Amino acid sequence: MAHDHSHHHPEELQNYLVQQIFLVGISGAFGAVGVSLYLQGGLWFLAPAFHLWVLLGAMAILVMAVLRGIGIWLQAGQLQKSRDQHDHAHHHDHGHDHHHHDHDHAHEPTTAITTAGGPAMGLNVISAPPVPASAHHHDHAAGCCDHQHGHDHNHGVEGDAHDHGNGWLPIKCVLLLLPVALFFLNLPNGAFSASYSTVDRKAVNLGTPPEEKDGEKINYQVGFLELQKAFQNPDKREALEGQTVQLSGRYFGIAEDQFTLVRYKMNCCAADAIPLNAIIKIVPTPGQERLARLDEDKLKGQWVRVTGRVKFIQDGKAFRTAIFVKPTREKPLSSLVETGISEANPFATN
Amino acid sequence: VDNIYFQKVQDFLLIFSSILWEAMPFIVLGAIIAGILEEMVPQSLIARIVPRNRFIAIAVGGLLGLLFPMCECGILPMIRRLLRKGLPLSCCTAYLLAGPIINGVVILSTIYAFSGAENHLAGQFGSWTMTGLRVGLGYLIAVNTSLIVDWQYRKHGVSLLTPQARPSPRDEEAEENAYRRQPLAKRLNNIAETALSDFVDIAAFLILGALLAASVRVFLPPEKIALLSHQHIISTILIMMLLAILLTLCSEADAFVAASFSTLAPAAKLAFLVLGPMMDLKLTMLYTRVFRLRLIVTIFGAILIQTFVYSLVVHYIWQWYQNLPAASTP
Repeated sequence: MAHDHSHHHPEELQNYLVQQIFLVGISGAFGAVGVSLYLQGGLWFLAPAFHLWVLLGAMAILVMAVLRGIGIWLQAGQLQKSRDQHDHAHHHDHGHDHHHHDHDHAHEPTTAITTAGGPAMGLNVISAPPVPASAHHHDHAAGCCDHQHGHDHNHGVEGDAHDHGNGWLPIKCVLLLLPVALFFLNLPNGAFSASYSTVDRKAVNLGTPPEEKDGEKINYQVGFLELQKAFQNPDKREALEGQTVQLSGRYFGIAEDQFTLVRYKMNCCAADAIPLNAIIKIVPTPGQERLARLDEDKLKGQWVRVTGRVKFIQDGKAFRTAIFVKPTREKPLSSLVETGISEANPFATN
Repeated sequence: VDNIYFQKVQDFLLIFSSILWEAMPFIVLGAIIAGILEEMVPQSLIARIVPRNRFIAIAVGGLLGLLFPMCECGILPMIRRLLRKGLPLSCCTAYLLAGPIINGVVILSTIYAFSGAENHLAGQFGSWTMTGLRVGLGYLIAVNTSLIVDWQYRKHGVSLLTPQARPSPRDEEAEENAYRRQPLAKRLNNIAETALSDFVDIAAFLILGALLAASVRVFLPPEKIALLSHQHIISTILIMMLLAILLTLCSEADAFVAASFSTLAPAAKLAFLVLGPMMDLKLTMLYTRVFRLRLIVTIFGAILIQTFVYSLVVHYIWQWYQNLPAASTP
């Protein structure tokens, strides 16, 4: 099966095919990594809406790689055939005769398909094409390429037509191997570090605790995103203020009884994440001030989950969230400001 | 493990991976469309449908995004094939520059981003104003830049383009192939060949751009830069333009980031939104696959100057409008 491009010499075709094998191998590996990332939940740094697109894109690349792998296989078969025709020394015969036509090689693509399933398909293809290692390169330039659709007028632009931007192919392959390598190293494996965003560490006068609402019931529906939505809506602010909520985020100390929780809001991917924060105030029960102390050194930069009551405070033109935490003997501070929480998804979901 | 450098590397990898994998599906789509264009669309067809008048061609090119919504990464491989097939350069640049702004997805996400949160503060644009201005300025800049590109192309010809993007001489064989009935397997194989080689080419440069952007981001979190920008309007606009280039956001997501700078002058946000989809670190790497340095400098120069001037004009008109007695009550 000849491709549109004409290849006069077997060597030229061979170079071209080797290049193509690299392209197929690297894109196949890239596609396989994309699919695996989707299947293993490795796309946590993208918004859920994008996960399916990554899967589809990766699968499309895999399909292209398989198609092309088969195409290369067939072309390589031709390379073999043309060599056999010229190379009279090579008469240790294989199953296929020279006078046979292309479709006789139909068994080859079938093997290509069966070996091409897994992530390592590129490697299989590399080891597969029947290119004899010690081929004799006689100069049979003219008239030998009856198996090609070699139209003469095409040769003038051949250099141009062959340049699909494949210059620097080795370097491009190395670049594309980077995400593949990261996948095998299981990276990135962590959220934004404590030093990633600047946190406003000014102590704020938060006033008195909000009026208690709904008793001790925790409203699990409300997280950073819901609170942020409430900022510009007086009714929502009114409804939420005084309710008990749970927020998880990264701890940044402000004062002895105040700290900030930081979490991120992602729109499409981690690169566009916006930091969200809430000020947490600890209100000791009179006479039990000792229970209301936090070990700042231990908590610095850690993921914590805070349970407390919501209050909205006005900061200039905008609103901020404050959470009032009230430790008691029954509910000690360690149960209201929990450390070592397992989920710690850096991106707020509610 | 709490080492600061270790943390920086972690942040770097996170941003790199998210820029790369977010853009990946669009690059694949662009590469496959490029493969199909190369195999199925004959040059004569392109020649037939492109308007004769270059002004009309440019004006239409700027609106193509409404018909073929693509983000900036996916457009590149398509553009390169279309250039080879003989679509005029100026028409391509109009699509390339305006497409990422003027398409349904981006318009909707801009409206949505600015309708929420703290954007009802006095002195800010409403979401429709912001979206309208973004689309309007984007189109204006794309068309004007394309006119400049057209003028340059008349002067310098194909030397402005990389060899892979130059219009190929009319290839009779390819013409025949496009029209002739062909075995499906052969067509698929040819499409796959073009798509794969385009994918690897563009993906490699996308990775370079993402590496560059991630290194900048690790040392310059957006909030830090935003703090710098509450200055005179000229420096605010310039800083937001710099931010657009350095942050390297997708045009679907940048509106949310702009909206998060709640108290910033709206004209500076507008500059951020107009410039980002046309020019950033990642796109610069991708542009080198189509344009030669001279053309890249021309395009970037035209975009930068126009974005700055138009945003400043919008700012002063907005101030004048707000000071009108009738409009002063928010």
